[in-house]
Amino acid sequence: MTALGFLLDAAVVLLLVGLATRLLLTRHLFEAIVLFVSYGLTLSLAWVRLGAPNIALAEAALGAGVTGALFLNTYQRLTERIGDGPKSPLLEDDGSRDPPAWFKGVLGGGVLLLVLGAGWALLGAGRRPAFLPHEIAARLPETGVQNPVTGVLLNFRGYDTLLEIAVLVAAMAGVWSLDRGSRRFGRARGEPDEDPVLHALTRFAVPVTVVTAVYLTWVGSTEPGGAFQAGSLLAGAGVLLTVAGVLPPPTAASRPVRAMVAGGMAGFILAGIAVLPLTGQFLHYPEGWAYPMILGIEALLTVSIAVVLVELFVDVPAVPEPDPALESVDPSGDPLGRALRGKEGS
Amino acid sequence: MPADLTLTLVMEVASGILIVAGCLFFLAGTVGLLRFPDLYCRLHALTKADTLGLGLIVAGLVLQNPVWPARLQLVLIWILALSAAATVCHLLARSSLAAGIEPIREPGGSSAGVTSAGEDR
Repeated sequence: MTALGFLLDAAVVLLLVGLATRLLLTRHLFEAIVLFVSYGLTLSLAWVRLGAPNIALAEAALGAGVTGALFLNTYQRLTERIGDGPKSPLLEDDGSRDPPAWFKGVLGGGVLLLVLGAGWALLGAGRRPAFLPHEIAARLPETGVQNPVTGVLLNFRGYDTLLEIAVLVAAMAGVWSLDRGSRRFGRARGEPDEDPVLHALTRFAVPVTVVTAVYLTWVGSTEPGGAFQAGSLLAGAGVLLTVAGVLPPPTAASRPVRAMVAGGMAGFILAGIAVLPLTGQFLHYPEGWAYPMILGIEALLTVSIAVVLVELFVDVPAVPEPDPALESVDPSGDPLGRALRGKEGS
Repeated sequence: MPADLTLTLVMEVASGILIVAGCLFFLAGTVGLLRFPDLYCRLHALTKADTLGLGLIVAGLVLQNPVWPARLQLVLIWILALSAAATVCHLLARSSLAAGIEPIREPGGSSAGVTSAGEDR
């Protein structure tokens, strides 16, 4: 490792630890969100330095980008109802609801032990030769793809990825069940208050993003890329279109939207079942069919992930009314209700 | 010294100068973000860093990279970042004005609403 590389690595590590510490200690919600996004971007830099561009892409797009946007969106929904500023109990925690010091000490000590133990185990493991990369490299030709990450995700451990997309679909169902109607974003073309600059950016950036997303899905079988990275890019384009008012926000009421959300998981499961008579195992692709099947599943997953992420961004559920039932159970356990009542009382 | 080696050396030095100059813009933008009094001044400082700073760094990297597709990709990244930064700056300023956050009019002075909304961010 060169001296410059070492300096860069040291800077990234110090920045990560510093950001994480600040993130855990801050009592201001907005500051925490900004720190979270910074942490995600620095973390993706760390993945690049570790030679894992797949994870770096996913971390930058999903961990920092999409999650940050969802947090900001939620923050705005909260401040709409509760009000901004240091007086708001939800946004600026004064520490009055903290657990006792001994509890924090035990928890902190436990986490410290866990981290030290993991570090010790990792350093010990470094002395043994790693066997997994060789195993994967030896059997990669059987997966139908050349990118080992895609080979593991969609073939060796396809089951894992199937459950991941199931989590996204379940989250979508959860948001839809809480839905009180989509927010109105931006102004459509031709409306008196439309924003020409935003429309210009949309016209330029959306086609570039869509082409890049298609490329990322396709290239995922040979090089870093794949459904999750492409899906989050496509979601960015979708959010831009919705915010600019070009597309109406997708809703659960629309049949195509529901089909696209369910498509990835449904296609994955159907493909898994379709190979049963041929190979006798769920998701065990027959020889020669692995590549087209993986590419098809990745394409469906990309669309599903994109629509779910746009939906999650557009459809942040409204802050509910304070619940008197919660109050009677535990007067201190309903900070949201207390904040809302405090605002209405003042 | 052979001609192509001289050219390589000139390109290397020019690339280094461009990248360092770009980093200085980012540094200035960060200082501006931390030191400027209100949201509009801070936006001004930040977008200068994003557009010019990134442009200089991209120019420096283009000089170092011999592959043409990679050079074009670098320029495309700059154009995308540039237009996104400019648009976000415009949208932030526009919605802040619409929300009633007044810009500071005179040096050293402050107007009502600026500090309360600006400082929290």
